[in-house]
Amino acid sequence: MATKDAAVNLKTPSSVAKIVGLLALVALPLFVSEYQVSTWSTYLTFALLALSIDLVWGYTGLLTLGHAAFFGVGAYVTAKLLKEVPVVPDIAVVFIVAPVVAALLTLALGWFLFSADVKGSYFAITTLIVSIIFESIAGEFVGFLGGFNGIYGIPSIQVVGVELTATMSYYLALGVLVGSYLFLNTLVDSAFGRVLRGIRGNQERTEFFGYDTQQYRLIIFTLSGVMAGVAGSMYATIDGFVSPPLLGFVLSTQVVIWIAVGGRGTLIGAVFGALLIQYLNSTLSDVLINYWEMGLALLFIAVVIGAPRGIVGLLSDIVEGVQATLVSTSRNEIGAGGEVDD
Amino acid sequence: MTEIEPLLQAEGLTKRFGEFTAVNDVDFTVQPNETKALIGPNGAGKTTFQNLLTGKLSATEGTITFDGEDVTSVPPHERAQRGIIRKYQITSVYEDETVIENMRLAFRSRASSPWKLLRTHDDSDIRERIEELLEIANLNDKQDTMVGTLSHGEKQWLEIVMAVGAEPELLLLDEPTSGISVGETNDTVDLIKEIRETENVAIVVIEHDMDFIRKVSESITVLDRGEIIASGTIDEIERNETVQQIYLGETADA
Repeated sequence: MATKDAAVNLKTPSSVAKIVGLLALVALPLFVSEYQVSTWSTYLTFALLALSIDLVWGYTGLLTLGHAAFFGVGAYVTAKLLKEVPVVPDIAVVFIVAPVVAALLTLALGWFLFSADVKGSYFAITTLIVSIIFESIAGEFVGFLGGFNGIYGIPSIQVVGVELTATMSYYLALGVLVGSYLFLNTLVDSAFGRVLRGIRGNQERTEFFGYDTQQYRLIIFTLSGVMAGVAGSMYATIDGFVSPPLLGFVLSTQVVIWIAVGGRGTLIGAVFGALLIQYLNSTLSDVLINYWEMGLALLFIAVVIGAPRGIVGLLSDIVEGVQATLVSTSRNEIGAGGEVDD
Repeated sequence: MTEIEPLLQAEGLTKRFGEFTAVNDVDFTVQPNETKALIGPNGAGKTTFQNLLTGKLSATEGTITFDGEDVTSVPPHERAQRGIIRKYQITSVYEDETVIENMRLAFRSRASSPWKLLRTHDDSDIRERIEELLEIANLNDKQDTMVGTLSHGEKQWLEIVMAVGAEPELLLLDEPTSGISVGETNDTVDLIKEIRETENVAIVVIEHDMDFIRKVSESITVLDRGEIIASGTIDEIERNETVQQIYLGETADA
């Protein structure tokens, strides 16, 4: 049974782990170079993209392979506006214009797909194609979007005339990620979240109980578009460079793999998987060069077979098992600790 | 008052798939709080007929009136919101959720907007009623059990009380005994009787099993090849020669 305050309940091992992880992220800029702070900032924006995909795939059961398109649109809109239309305040570009544009896209695409009741593998294929189309459009428009070379030299954002340093951008990205996580945690724990799981478990049954599942799917798809748009926008301001692969299906599918490895349908698994694999990617690809890709592939296969609920699910099973054996006398404690992947 | 307004009235209901007519010019009426049975051999059109009532299929011809309003072209979720709730022939519950989560999902279904549900974090308002229904389904001690691990009969009962929890005015029970043991069938009879007595709901039971029908319903409608060939009390139906030929003959084969 889901505990209502699972996100902040200090008694559970999962909450302790989350808080330790958060503190590590908060302290990170103190220990690494400015360059690495920027790198980790981009990890955080991809983690936000992973969260948005987990909402759609993990909770609602709609495997989207096209979310990079919405991330990339957020990034390109931001690149164009920050470079060429300085009148619009930067903060409005990141938190209003980019998410609104991405939301309009997901709303239109979602309306089209859900009213035709496209689901299952057809949904995955259609969203994949959208991603491919967007990537090739960005590659074609050399004059306006920079073609395959993309757009360089996107400035950092300014807030009331002060340009954000790498560290400030990092904390902004971390704040947005944590805020989004807490918000989504409340959402999936509500009766609304239960309907999403109902759609995932049995869409027709849910429909015939009286839920307008088309409306629910559209709301969640659009919300995830908003998040992907903000994530892409922040990425553009941090990295200073956008190019067609940011919209492409390689990124789309990569993030899905991160979520599967971390633990689908848990939110924290998406964040954990995204940060872990990006970190391993940057450290191990230097050491192992091409073998890293194979290592990642093997890790993915191992998780899919050995731990279908991802690393987070595996850890929670281990913690539960240990608790069940150690604390067999104190049943209340077990009950409290049993819920890990909220 | 000379006549009560019927809860459900299907008039001239017809469904064609290309050349094939699955349901042909069917008139069917359900009064409030009435229990009716719909029987017929395989391929008689029982499932198609239900799909027309619930909106899964749209009618080729004819009209469906529910609570005095024409619902012929109303989409499924809206019909459910108005009070037409079905239990599927193949048990249709949420296997990866607990019993209590299944119940809560059914309970929140009517007349709740997504925006309201977004703000709903507390289920204490429905707790008592859920336990009351789980009690009559003998599932109260399994609240936290994953539904996937329940027996087939238990899943059937769960889906029935979930449907009741959705506050139906018309409850369609499609083969509530399909695939379950004799002992479990008796429990299903008790469950349906209990619902008839305590709930303010009309029930249409779609079944093969005549013994079962006899125990839960007095009024029977027989469907064959998409048409209603007889309706009346169980004794009338059993004496009806056409019914004996096509329906009872079929069960003897089965």
